[in-house]
Amino acid sequence: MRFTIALVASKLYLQILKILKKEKDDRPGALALKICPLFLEKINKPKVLIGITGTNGKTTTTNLLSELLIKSGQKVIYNDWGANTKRGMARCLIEGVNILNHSKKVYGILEIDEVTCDETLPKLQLDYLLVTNLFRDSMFRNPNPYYVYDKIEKGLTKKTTLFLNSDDAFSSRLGKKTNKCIYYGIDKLKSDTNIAKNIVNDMQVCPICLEKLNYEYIRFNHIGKVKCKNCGFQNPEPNYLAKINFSKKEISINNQIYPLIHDSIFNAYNEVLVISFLLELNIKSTKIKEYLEHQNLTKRRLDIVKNHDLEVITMACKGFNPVALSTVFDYLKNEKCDIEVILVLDDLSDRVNSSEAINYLYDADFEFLNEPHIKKIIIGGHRCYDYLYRLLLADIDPKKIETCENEFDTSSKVDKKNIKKIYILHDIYFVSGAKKIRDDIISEVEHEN
Amino acid sequence: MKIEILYPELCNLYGDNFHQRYLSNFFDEVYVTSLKDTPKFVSEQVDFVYLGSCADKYLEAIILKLRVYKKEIEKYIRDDKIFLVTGNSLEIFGNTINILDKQIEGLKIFNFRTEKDFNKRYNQLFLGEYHGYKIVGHKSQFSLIFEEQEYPFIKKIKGLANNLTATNEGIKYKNFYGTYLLGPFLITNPYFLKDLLKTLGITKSLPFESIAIKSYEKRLEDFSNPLNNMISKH
Repeated sequence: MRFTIALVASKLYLQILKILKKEKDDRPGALALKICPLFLEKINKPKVLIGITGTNGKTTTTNLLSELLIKSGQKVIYNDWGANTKRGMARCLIEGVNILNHSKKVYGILEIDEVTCDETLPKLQLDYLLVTNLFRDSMFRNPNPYYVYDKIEKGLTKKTTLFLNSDDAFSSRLGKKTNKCIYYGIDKLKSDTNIAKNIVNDMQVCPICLEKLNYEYIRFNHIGKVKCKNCGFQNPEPNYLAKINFSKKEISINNQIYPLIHDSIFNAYNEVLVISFLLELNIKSTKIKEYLEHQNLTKRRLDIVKNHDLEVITMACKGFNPVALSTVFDYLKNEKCDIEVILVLDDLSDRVNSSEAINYLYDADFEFLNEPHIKKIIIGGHRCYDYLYRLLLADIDPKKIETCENEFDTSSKVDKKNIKKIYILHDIYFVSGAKKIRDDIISEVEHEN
Repeated sequence: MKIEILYPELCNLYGDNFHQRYLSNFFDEVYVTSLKDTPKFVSEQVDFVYLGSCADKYLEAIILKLRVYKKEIEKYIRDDKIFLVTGNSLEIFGNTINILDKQIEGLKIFNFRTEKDFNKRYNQLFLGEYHGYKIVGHKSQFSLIFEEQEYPFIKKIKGLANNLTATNEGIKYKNFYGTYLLGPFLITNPYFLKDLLKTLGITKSLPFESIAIKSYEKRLEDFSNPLNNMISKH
C-alpha cells in the first residue's frame, strides 16, 4: 500500500515539475522514498537497467550513452544531471513504470554514487554496471579508493554484467570471481612512459601479495600496464581494444573508425566505454559512427565560446579530486598554442561556517602548468593564497601568477595579447559564475575590437 | 642530516607524498624505504622518520613489518630523534585497534587504544595550540583514540581532539609527533615547521616563506571565526 501511494504521489509531483519545465529535480524521488523506504526494491525495473559508476567520468558517460541510445531510436530514462544518490535514482525509475508499476519498454541509465554501491546495487539488480575507473577522490566523500572498491564489490549481484576498464588494474579486479566481466581499454600511446609523472599513484603494490608493482607503461596515475613479478597479477586482456589517433581525432575499435569527440585522454576513455558497450548491445558500428558525428560533450562540463581570434573555454573540475584536476592540467600542458588559465576552484559551500580542506592541492599535479606556452595563471577566490603557494612550490614563475580574492575580478587580469585560448577551470558548482567571467572577457574583447 | 620516508607506496594519502617531498628538501640525504626493505634507522644514523596515512586495510600489514623493529623504534624515540606520524598511522603505535568484533594488536609503544567504526567518519577542522603557536589542520578518519593522557601533543581550542571529549590532539613524547592532522600539516603550519627544523639545527627559510605565512594566517582567521562550526561539509 505504501508503495502504491509513493508511486502515485511521486508521479503526480513529477508531472507538475514537467509542466513547470523543472523536471531535472530529485524531489519526486525523495518523496517516494520518504513514503516508502523500500521504493527502490519494489519499483519494477526497465527492460534493460544500466548503472554507471566510478570516480571520474560518470556524468559524462551517462550523458553520452543516453544521447546515443536515444539517437538509435530507443526510449531511455536517465539521471543525467549528476543525481547519483538514491533519491536521484528513484526519481529516474518513476518514469520507467506506469501508475500500476508495469515496466515500460525502455532503457534505464543510472549514474550511481560509487561509495553507496553496497547499499544501492542489491536494490537495483542491474543488468549492466559500467565502471569508469577508481582513483582517490575527496577524502571526505570517499575516504580512499580501497574503501570504495570494497563498497562496490560488496554490492555486486550475480545478475549484473560488468564493463570494466582494463587499463585500470585497480577497478578491473571487480567481480572477477562472481560476475561476467567485459573489458575495454586503449592501446599503447606514444605519450605513455615508464616513469610515473604524477604525484599520486594509488596502485603501487600488488593487491594480492603487496609486492611493489612494475609498470610496463604508465599513462597517468595508475592507468597503464602492470604486472606483479611475484604472483603474476596483471591487467586483464580487453575484449574491446581501442586505438586512438589524437591528430586525426579518431578512435579505432575492431578496425572500425569512430570520431573522437574530445581530444583529451580522460574523455577518450568515456567514449571508448560507450562505443564498446553499444557494440555489446549489438548496435551496428556504422550507426554508432553516425550518431557520434555531431556529438558534443555536455556544456555544463565543457563549453567553448569563440570571439574574433580568442577562444574562451570553461571546463568543470570536480572539487577535492586531485586526479580529475591533474588530467585537466595535463591536457593544458599539451596545448599547442599560447594560453592563459583562470583557476576558480574554491568550494563555495565550505565558505559558510567552515573552511575548505586543501590537502588535495598537494596530490594534484600543478607542476604540469609550468610550461612556456602557459603565459599567465590567474587565481580567484578565498583560498587564492593556498593556490598561489602550491603554484610557487611547482616552480612556476611568480611573475606569471595573479591572485584575486573575489572570483569575478579574475576577468580584468586577463592579458589577451597574443593569446589564442583562455581556460577557465571551475568547480562543478560554479558553472554560472565561470560563465559570467567568460562573458566579461568576451565583452571586453568585443569592446576592444 | 638524513630523513627516512617509511613505506610511501602505502602511506601516501591526503597530500602525504608532496608533504614528504617538501620536507625532504631540508635534508642532505633522503631514504625511501619500501615495505620489503629493512628501515635505515635500525642500523644507521637517521634524524627524521616520516610515516604517513594509509588505507585502513593496510594498517595490520604495516604493524607486522614494524613489530620486528619495535626495540629499535623505542630506542630511536628515546634518543630524542624526530619521528613524525600523520593520520591513521598513529594507531600503529598504540595497544590495540578495535574494529567491531576484530582486534588488531598494535606496537604497544604508547598506552592508548583505537576504536574504529567504518560507519562513522569524522570530517573535521581542528584548531589548537602548541608551544604558543596556533595549529590549524584537517582531519578525516573512522577512528577515535582513548586512554592516552600521558603525552599530549596539541591542546585543542576547537574541533575534534583524540576523541569526542578529549582536550588534546595527538601524541608527543620527546621528539615523537603523532597526529591525525593530515598530510601537508607542516606546510600549512609554517611556524611549527620552522620550530621543528630548528631542533635539528636547520635554520634556513621556508620556500616562499612570506606566502606560506599569508596562507596560514588566512586559514587561522577562518578557523578562529566564532561562526565556524569546524565541520567539513563534504
